Amino acid sequence: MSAWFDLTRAHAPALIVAAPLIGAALAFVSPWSRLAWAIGVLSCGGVAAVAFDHAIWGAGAPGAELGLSHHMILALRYDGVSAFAAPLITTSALLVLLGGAAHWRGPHPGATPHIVSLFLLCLAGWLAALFLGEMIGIFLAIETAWIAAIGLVALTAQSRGGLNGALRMLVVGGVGSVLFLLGAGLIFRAAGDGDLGALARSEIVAPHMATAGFTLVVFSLALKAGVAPLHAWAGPALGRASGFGAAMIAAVSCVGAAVLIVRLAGYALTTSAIANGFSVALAALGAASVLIGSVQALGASDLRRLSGYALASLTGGVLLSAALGSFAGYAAALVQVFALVAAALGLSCGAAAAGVHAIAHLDGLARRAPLASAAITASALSLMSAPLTIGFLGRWRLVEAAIGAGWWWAAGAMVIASLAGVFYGGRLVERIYFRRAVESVSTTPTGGWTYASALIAAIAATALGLAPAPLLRAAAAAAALITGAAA
Amino acid sequence: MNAELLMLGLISAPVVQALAAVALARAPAARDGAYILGALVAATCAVLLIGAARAGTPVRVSLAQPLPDVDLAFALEPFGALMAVVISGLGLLHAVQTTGLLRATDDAAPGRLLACMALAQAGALSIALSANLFTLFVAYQGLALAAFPLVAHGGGVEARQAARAFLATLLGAAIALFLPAMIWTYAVAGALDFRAGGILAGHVDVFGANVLLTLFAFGSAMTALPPLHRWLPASSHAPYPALASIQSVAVLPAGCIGFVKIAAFVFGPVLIDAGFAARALIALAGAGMCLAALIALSRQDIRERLAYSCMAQSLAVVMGALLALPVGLFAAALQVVALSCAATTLILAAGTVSVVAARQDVRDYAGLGRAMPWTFASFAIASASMIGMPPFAGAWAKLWLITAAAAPSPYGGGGLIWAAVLASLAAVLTFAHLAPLAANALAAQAPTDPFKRPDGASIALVAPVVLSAAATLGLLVLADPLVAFLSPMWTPP
Amino acid sequence: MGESSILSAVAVALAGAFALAGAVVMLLAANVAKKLAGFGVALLGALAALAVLQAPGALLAAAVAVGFGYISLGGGLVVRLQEGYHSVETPEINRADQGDEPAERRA
Repeated sequence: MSAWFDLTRAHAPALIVAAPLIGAALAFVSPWSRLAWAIGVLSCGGVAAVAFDHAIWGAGAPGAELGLSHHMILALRYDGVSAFAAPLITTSALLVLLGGAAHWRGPHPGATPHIVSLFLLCLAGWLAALFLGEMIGIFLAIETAWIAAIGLVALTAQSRGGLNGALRMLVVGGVGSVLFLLGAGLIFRAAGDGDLGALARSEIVAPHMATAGFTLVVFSLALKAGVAPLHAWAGPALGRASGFGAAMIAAVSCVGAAVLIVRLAGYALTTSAIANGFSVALAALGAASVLIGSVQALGASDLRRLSGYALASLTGGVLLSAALGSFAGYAAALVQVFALVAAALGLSCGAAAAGVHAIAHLDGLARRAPLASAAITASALSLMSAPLTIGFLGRWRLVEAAIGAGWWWAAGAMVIASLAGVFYGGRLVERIYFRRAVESVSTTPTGGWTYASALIAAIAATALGLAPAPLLRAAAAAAALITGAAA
Repeated sequence: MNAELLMLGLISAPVVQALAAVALARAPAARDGAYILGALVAATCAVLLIGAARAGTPVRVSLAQPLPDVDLAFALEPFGALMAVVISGLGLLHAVQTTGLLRATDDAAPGRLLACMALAQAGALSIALSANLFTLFVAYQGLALAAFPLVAHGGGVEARQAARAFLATLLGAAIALFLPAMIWTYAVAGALDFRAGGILAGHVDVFGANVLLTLFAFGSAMTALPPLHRWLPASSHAPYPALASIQSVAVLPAGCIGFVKIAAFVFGPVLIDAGFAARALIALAGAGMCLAALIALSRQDIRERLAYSCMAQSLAVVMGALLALPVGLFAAALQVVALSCAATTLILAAGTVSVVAARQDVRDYAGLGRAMPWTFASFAIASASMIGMPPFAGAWAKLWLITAAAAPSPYGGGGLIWAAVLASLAAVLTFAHLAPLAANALAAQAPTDPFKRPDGASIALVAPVVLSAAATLGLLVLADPLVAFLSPMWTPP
Repeated sequence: MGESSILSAVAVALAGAFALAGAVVMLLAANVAKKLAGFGVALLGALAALAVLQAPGALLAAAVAVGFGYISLGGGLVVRLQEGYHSVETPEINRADQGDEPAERRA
């Protein structure tokens, strides 16, 4: 038995990437919806277990090359961001999939195997992008994940609006892929190599070209992460997708892209030739996202759109933290990634569980669906950066890191974001608890597993907000690996 | 009993009260009994804690450590212990009167009202006992969130708008001003734990001290320092039990307590470095006091008049705390006690009058004292205290405040005589808007139809008013011992 | 700087501009088919830029594969949009969506 464990641990990164792919293939050929769903849940659960085990016990030398293949494109490179984010994203995916259980009884139950298959393909793509060490492999992984996500949104749509959402994602994906290609080409030309690990050691012949390349790559990922002002697709796509589709986009896809930006920043910012220029670009993008996302969330009238804008603001915080390029900055970025996942899951699964779209439908929700209300409230409080929530902790760590680096303006941007959070988060809480539904709202609560997902996310976020020591330790260890791996 | 347990009991009793109020919402007798019992437990714990505070025993309870070097903790020090006694003692009287009011009125959601009042009290007690700035900030936000439904309790568009203004002002100021100030303090001092002599001592230059003081002063919008005072008059149309929570038992006093703690334990002697901002804020508070008292004079609705009157009293606390003198801090501490006792008496009395005589307009109060002698005698005593007439609590507070203002100022240039003049002028204006009202109620001819209710006021409606009025006499005997008791506030160990 | 490097910089700039122009068409065109055509142009521009930048062949192959994926998926979407909305013009599609959504009660 222990030999199996040792074998699993030795090849954990490869297993983390391969298992969802195998699951996707099995789900695709599965004749029954329930079987496909079970395969999906087992794949996600298994991958999450391996990812947790690997993060806690299997942390090898930073930057160790492991692998599926010794061919450059598919060489796996393990680093702090992969160690921290892989368990997080797989757990998030597991909760989204569990929460989607009710969906299979929806209008197209026969499509379930395809939906689960696309879901696992999307997950595998983002996980592969987290573990691959070469730009070409990362490009392929990201685009696979994104194309799968588009298919998923189109397939799970409960009305024709989902097709429109998928179209917007297609446009964004297309533009993003072109930007990535241009950026990767510039990096290859400037550094002579697309291997992330070799970047810090390689001699950059044209620093400006490399900086421009990384900036283009990050812009491409920022498009997919829903970073403002590149997030015009996010509100309409999330608003038109099904509850399950919206949860998947917000809690897996956007998070995957945001985490990947942090990962790339970890390599780029420790390459002295390009660090300064790239840091400025990343910080500017982060600050813009924080401010624009916050302002847009104030005016949103659809809950999913509001989530999209609020999450853009949170993602901006992640980018700002990463732009600091310091140990404290990376640790703050990872804590905020956790806050991002928790808020995305709580809001999207909570809204799906209660069956609400428009913010006006939240009126009196506490009486109709107290558990979903609790999950949405926990997320709203976190978005408001209310003390003792994970959102507060994330912003506090960022502000601490920013002040340490003399970036007072970043601290100011965070305060503005928190202030906006009071208004849009407070609006949600007020409607849920202090208003009565004056008209019969045709909501279709999904119940069961969706409630469970939303509540697990809310409880995890609340518990870690109160006692964040394990999360802070994990973020610090990952940040040490990022700075160590790149040094 | 173990002091730590007493402190936990004191903080958790109102939380249990809130849970009981919700759980027993459909059994009024059990609900009210549990509510009063909870208030009694809290008051007992607070009184017992005074002994530990007097002995100087270090008592600290840490609930969580949400940030690496900062915990959510409560600590016992004399000022906090005194305030806990005041809040929980008045809370007990308020609880008794609230049950009486609920019996006499037809509230749509009494369980929610009681629960939010109890949670607001827990927030106020947490502020009083907070061990560091972070806990103060958390309790401040918790208190604002708990009090928000109290403002909205009346229902309707106006109440909801008032509640929104309430929450937006208090939370907005906390996040936009208090939070950056807290982060700045943490960045320069590396700690947030309160200590006599100030966290900032030796860590901040003149510019930083001035900016920080300004941020903290406006960030603590619960003190109703203009221009962030709109929440107070906006909330004046809440139901009477909620009104007492907001203006006299929980929110407004908690804002004052928090500000005094910041002045004493975050700044201490650093206030002298922040002389420019401090003098400007003293002038603002002084002018605000006079203006609030003047506006109160123009209001005919008793709730609005009391809201502005309470605002004037609260600004006196701010003025005292900013004088950068031990005497000023002592005056501020006494003023919080005086404000709480007198304002509670006035609001409870107005609540009783509203239920029993169905009168809100001060012009209709004429002669009611003849029909309700106990209530209006208490009203008159509390008015005298608010004005600053001896021998009531407000007199000692005002005396010390004016003395502190006139004393040689550490900011240089002799005493701040103009501040003393402003405080005196505010007292005169308070006299103008409260004294004729009380006198007219007691002296004028009794109205022919004084009571809406044929049986008049029940004991639950009158006894708390009388007892809280009696409390305003407490400082007559306690003022001197309090100097020694509170001295650790301004004496670093 | 040698003549060849100046030429290659100009070529990269031109190819990049071509790619970005295609991307702009993709973002702004009202017709979904034109959006796909814009993507094709953008991809060609990117491939040309990669070629001038002497990027590895694997990256070009990956770009072609991904481009094929997007265009196939886009083609499928065009068909479904035509079936669902009886139009492939985005303004009409957005208007139809707004009609589908129930009117919201304002706060």
